[in-house]
Amino acid sequence: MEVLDNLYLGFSHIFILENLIYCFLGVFIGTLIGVLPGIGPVGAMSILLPATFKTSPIGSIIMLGGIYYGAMYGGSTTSILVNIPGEAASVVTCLDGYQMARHGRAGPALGIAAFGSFIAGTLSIVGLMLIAPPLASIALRFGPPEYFSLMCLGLTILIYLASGSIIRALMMAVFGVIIGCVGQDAETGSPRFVFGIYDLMDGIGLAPFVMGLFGISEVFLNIEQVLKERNIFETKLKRLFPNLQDWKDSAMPIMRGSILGFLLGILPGGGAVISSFASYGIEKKISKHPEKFGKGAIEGVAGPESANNSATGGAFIPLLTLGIPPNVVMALLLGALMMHGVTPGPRLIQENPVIFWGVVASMYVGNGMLLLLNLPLIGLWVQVLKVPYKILFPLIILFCVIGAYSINNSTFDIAIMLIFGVLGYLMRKYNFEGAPMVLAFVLGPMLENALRLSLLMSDGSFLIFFNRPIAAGGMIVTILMLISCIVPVIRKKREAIPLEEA
Amino acid sequence: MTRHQRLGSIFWLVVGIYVAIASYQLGLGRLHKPGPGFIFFLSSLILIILGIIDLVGNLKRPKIEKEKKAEPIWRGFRWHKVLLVLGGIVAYIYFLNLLGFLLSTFLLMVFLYKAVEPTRWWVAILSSLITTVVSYGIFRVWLQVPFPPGILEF
Amino acid sequence: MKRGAKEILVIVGLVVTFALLFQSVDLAKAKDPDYPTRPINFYISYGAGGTTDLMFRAFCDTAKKYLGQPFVPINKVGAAGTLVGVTVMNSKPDGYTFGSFAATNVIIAPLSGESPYKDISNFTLIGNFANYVYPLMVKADAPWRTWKELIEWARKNPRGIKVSITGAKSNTSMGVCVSQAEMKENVEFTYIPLKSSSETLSAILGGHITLYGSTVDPSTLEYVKEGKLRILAFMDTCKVPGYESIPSFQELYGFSIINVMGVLGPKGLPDNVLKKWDDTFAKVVKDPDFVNTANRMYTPVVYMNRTELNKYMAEIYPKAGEIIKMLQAEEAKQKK
Repeated sequence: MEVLDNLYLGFSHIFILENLIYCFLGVFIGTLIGVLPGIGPVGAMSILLPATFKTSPIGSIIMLGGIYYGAMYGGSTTSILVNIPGEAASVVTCLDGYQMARHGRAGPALGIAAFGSFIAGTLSIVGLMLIAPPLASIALRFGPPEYFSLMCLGLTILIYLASGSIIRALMMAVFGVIIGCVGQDAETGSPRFVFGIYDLMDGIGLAPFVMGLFGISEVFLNIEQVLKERNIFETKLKRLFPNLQDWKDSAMPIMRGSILGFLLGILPGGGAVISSFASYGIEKKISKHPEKFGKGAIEGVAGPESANNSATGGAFIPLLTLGIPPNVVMALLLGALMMHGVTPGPRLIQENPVIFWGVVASMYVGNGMLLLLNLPLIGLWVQVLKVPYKILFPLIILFCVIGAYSINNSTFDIAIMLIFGVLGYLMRKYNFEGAPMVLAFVLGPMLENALRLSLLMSDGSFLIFFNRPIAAGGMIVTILMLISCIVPVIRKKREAIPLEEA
Repeated sequence: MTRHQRLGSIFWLVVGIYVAIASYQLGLGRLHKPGPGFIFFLSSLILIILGIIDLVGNLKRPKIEKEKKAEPIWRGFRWHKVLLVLGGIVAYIYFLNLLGFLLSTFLLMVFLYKAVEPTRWWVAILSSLITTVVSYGIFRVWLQVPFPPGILEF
Repeated sequence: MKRGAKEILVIVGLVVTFALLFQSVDLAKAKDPDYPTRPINFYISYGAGGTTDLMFRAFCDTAKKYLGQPFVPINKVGAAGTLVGVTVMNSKPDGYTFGSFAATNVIIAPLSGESPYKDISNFTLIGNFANYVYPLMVKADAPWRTWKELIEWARKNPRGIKVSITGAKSNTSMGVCVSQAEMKENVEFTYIPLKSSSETLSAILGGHITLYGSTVDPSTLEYVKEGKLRILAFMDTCKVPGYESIPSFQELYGFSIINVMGVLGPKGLPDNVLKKWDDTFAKVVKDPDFVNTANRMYTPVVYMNRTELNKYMAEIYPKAGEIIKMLQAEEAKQKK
């Protein structure tokens, strides 16, 4: 089979010592970057970019790519251990992963995250290998109207994210849209809710926002309790690795997450964040015990972690087959390739098969290395939880503060993190949830942008959402989903009334 | 419904009203060409409506819920510690540009160790030193994050 | 007060006192004859990995050879490049902070009133090292083979041509340039504001827009070479090698897009710093590696030293100001 031949070609280039070292370096650095809150793969990659000029093109992609998907592995670590999302794609892992840690199940959480990531990563590479070009051309057909319908669909997932009152979750979501859109208007250039603060012209940063809303608020909530008498984490660790039941519960979420993440990762602007949220929402909807979500359901970790890892595989598709990077990280990779005189695009696979298949092969190897790296580390991380909280929390704060600063080299981001830390703290006290706000924060501006661009394209006609096949499909599914949510509620109310009157 | 829960909804209601007014001034545009304020206005309207539903819905709930009111959210919690830590970080932001990374970080760490829980001085100072140096190594030397120089020129 | 708290207060008080004391002593480095003695921060106003970012990083890499100290490239994207402008403007003029400029953040944005600075008086423009290429392209299966054909169609179909220039129409050099063409030809395009040239590329390939009007990178030009995209015109006399027969706006209308790319620093740099930079700059633009990279990225080297650059700015500012005022008046008229 041709694919196997090509794979062999790829692997033959990987198993050269030099390239293996680059692969290891990349995934190692990526893992560390993922663990450190705030600074993301982009930062590390841009620092290493000049170093890669001296290496071969394949060496540099292997290393830089390794940093990217390595960061996805590392990001879940802090989410699970201390409720701090390592980067935005790991926010959802905080919801159940941290709860698992609080109940002494940090080991299984970390384990299933690592295994899920590995399986998902591998599956996404298979997808990349086999169906990259046709998928890429479908991705091109996604224009603003298609994105609008996708965002609408994404927002309906919000309803499933809520563990408590749906009304309150929706309120948080709507507020998330508002703060997500803060900044300079894309069309007119006028400042919106910027309050004269120039740093806000580009909007509120996602990383400081989630770090504050989840991480800092958690620290605040913990320190206001009298620590001496309580241990934040159950020290009696139940187990270090996932058990059979965990695996049985996680198997399908991992599969579903992998496919979902892969498909969403191909779309420009889609990517890891949205796919992790989507996976969580879907798992919760499908689950036979949705009330366990938010309290430590392992499906809530397995699905999203798989999704965000396979999204990285998917993201390579438009880059390698079209020369169009779907996100900032891929843009960097594109730059690195161009500096080496390689031009990714439709002809890359034929003209430069070594690059394409070498990257594919390196991703297999890299994922394997990551699994081997992360598994023993679980024992180490779990020890971190045993450190007394009074010693631990200043470290948490420090890493959050520096991490926030390092995103844009600006103390303003620290301030943002603090503001949302306080908000998150108050929200938890008064019974409002953060996750819907985060999803809406990401989707809201994209929704608005898609809406305005679509209307510009159609010269004001709303029909554009319905006379293009993909967009129409998305809108119909959204409407159906909304109906399927509302109908049971109405039915319940109808049943409740006779009961009350009886 | 407890006073606390009402407070929450009222807060968001106020936020919604503010955003609605401000966004109206930004310009709503027309339906087929939404202006800059459109999405804010729409969102804040929804926020207001939901806030009202939340308030009203809870007021109507049977008085059995009052039993739950026993759960305090402020009494018995050391919220002043939260204020202390918050103040510390705010001061850090200010001092970072003044004193530079090494000094400010060290001071922040000592403060955090001492301010919340009783910690012995040598533990606080030693841990602060180690963490400051290690974080400097990771962030400044390895990741080349440019920190403001401040006094010690680091 | 608890014992621990008192101690903290004492320490904080001491530190604050010392800090204030130090502040009053002028610690700013006196003339630094051995400039530079430590790494130089360089702010890039474009996203990491894009062609502009790569060009500036290549500049930093090459300048390091002649200046003797490494650079720390920092991406500070946002607000059409004015965020970098503000950062550099407010930095200490000690020669260790510089930034990138292109037409948008030093000319267009200030003149159109959408930036915190109104002109370049707070900057030292060190030099210009390259120009962009700005092709206007359509898909190969589009019915127009020349720019004239497109304009004729546009005349009969107002707002029918959907063009995407990266960024907003009002505060980018591309927006201003295409708007001028619209006015000259008396047609009306629809502007679809997208955020990056990659988005623009995928939009045109997917058929969501009709006209691409932005910078290009080697990947984009692959599509041209393969015949999937067709260049109809260039916004500047700077053309893609091999496509010189395609007209530029200069040939068609007598004007060009404002096209600059270079380094800026804060106002008030000491003389020895300036001299070192002038020398370095002149050497970088002749460096063979740098020239190669520039050509490969389709941003060929175009050199203007400090004096020439300032002269250019002095000339272009009033002209650009008029054009922008005219365009803004048109906009206002149309809104009524």
